[in-house]
Amino acid sequence: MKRKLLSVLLAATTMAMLLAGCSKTPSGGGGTSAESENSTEVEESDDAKIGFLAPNLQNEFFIGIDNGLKEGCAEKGWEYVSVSFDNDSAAAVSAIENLVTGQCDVIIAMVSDDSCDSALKAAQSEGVKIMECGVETEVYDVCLNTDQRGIGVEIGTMASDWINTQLQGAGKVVVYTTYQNQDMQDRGEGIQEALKEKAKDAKVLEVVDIGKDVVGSGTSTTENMLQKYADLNTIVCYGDAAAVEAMEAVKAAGLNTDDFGIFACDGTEQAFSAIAKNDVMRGTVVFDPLPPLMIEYCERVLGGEEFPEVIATGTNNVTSANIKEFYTSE
Amino acid sequence: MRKIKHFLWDYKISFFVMCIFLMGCMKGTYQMNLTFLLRQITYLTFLTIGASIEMMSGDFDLAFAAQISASTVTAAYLITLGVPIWAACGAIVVLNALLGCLKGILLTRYRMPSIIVTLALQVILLNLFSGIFPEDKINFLKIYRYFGSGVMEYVFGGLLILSVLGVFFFLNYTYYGKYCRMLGENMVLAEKSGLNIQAVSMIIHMASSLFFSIPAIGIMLYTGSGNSYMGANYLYKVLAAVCLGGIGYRNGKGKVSGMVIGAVTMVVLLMMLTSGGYLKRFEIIIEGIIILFFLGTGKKVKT
Repeated sequence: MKRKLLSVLLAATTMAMLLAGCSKTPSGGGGTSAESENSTEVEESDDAKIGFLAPNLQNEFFIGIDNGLKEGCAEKGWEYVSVSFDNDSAAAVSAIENLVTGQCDVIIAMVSDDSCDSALKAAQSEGVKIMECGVETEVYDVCLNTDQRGIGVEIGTMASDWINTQLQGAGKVVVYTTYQNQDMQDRGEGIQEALKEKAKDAKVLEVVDIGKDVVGSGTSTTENMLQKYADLNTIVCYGDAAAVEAMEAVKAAGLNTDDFGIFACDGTEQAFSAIAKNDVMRGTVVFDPLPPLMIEYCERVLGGEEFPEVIATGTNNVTSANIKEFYTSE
Repeated sequence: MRKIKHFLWDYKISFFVMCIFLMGCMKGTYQMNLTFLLRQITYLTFLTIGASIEMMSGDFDLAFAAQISASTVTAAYLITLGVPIWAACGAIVVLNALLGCLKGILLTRYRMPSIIVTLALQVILLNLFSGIFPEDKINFLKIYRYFGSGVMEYVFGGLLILSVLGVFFFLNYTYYGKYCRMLGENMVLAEKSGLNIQAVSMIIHMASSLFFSIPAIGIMLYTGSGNSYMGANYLYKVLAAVCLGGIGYRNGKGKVSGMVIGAVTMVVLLMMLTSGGYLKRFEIIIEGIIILFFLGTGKKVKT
């Protein structure tokens, strides 16, 4: 009896979840856009459904994009769904297929490489528009991308300027990069290139692979580096998540002086806050807000425009000199 | 008629989920794509069959997803070294068979608890292979490009039908099928009755590993890559499918039809959740609830 009761309870829970899912009928009223198989244009972009495929939805950068897209789609009256694949290409492939099943008109794919090309191509053949962001592969209808090496150069340039002015060139630098992701690897190379060129007296003590979006890696690596190199005074990192962790480790070690600097990229809230407080986090590269750009190009691609060329997204270097333009503490 | 009634009652949740999906398709909420559905069902069913056979033999396997990751990264590395595709696929089968053997030995010879053994193997495999190879993500699309034309999905689908028939025959008409259930019911008693439990366990785990190899090959070819996280997300999905299929833990019970129904249900459920905009964490919560619920009710029935 108890077992039956439990079965009924589980069935009721599942039913509630699924009915809630079913009730989210696309505003297209049965997916008018997807019905015509080979249709390349959605007749009215008012009825669109946008799917966002994120590497993860746990770090601030992707959460920010997710929230921005949610708001943007709501303003347009579009339906919006997001899904993360946790850096697992097999999960990404399934997610792409499920987004097509869910009748998305545009999939914004922030994939890390071309391992999802087969699935994206299959989605395209179902009439779904593919927007790639942050990576360029062979399969896209519109691609928003940035020159990752160039971003690395920007980070390295900020660090070099600070080393030359604050430390009179006597920088002892550790670079945090990762070889798990081609973009981040390019960014790391750009950092090293700029340091070599613009801070000629500085010494790069070590280049460390800290992994891609590994929570806690910034902290543990920084603790190890501080023990290994007593004269370390600059950390240059591929992303803000690890940089903020590094900052906490530096503060815990009591080294939060004017002569210690951390530089990275992404323009997260935590990084901005630290720069505004004149913490050891000295600079970050911020991208032009991606969600409005994504929404704009979603609308244009749904309207039938074609974008064979990559759309470059802009960046800004943020330091204590210009932080007020980007961030105001509440 | 009574049999059909029992069958429908046994898998009521699964049929309920499938009905909702079909209704959603008719209503236009979901756009059914047979190739996508077939690909996902094929991979998940292969994995579910492998994990189910292990569970029927008393092993709650937490390492099979890591086996997939390790296989794909090894094969992808071999391909980048110039090894032909077929040989790399063979390497996946061999590696999985060896790991299956190892599991069998650890579980029966050293009498280690299956959850601890497979959890330790999972951790070792995930980290060891990313440490051994120069990169933990290896992409070979520049060497070999395979775009899903749909043909491979049907080949794997055909292979699945043969496998289902084979497992049905194995479990119901062979001594090893009975030994498998015996091991699951009571390993000590099986040994006392004269069964060579180590040999049986090794054979069962090797057979299961074959079922893990096939999706590993499929995923690797479809994505043109291998990495130390690839397939990791299958762990809870497959365990939930095994539970939905009514496979008993430590009672040797289970039917092939249950394995297939469990896998199909999970695929359909996840399709609905993703396309409904539920984040992955909700998927994992549901998978966790299913596992807890079925293990709990299964144990109650046994006592």
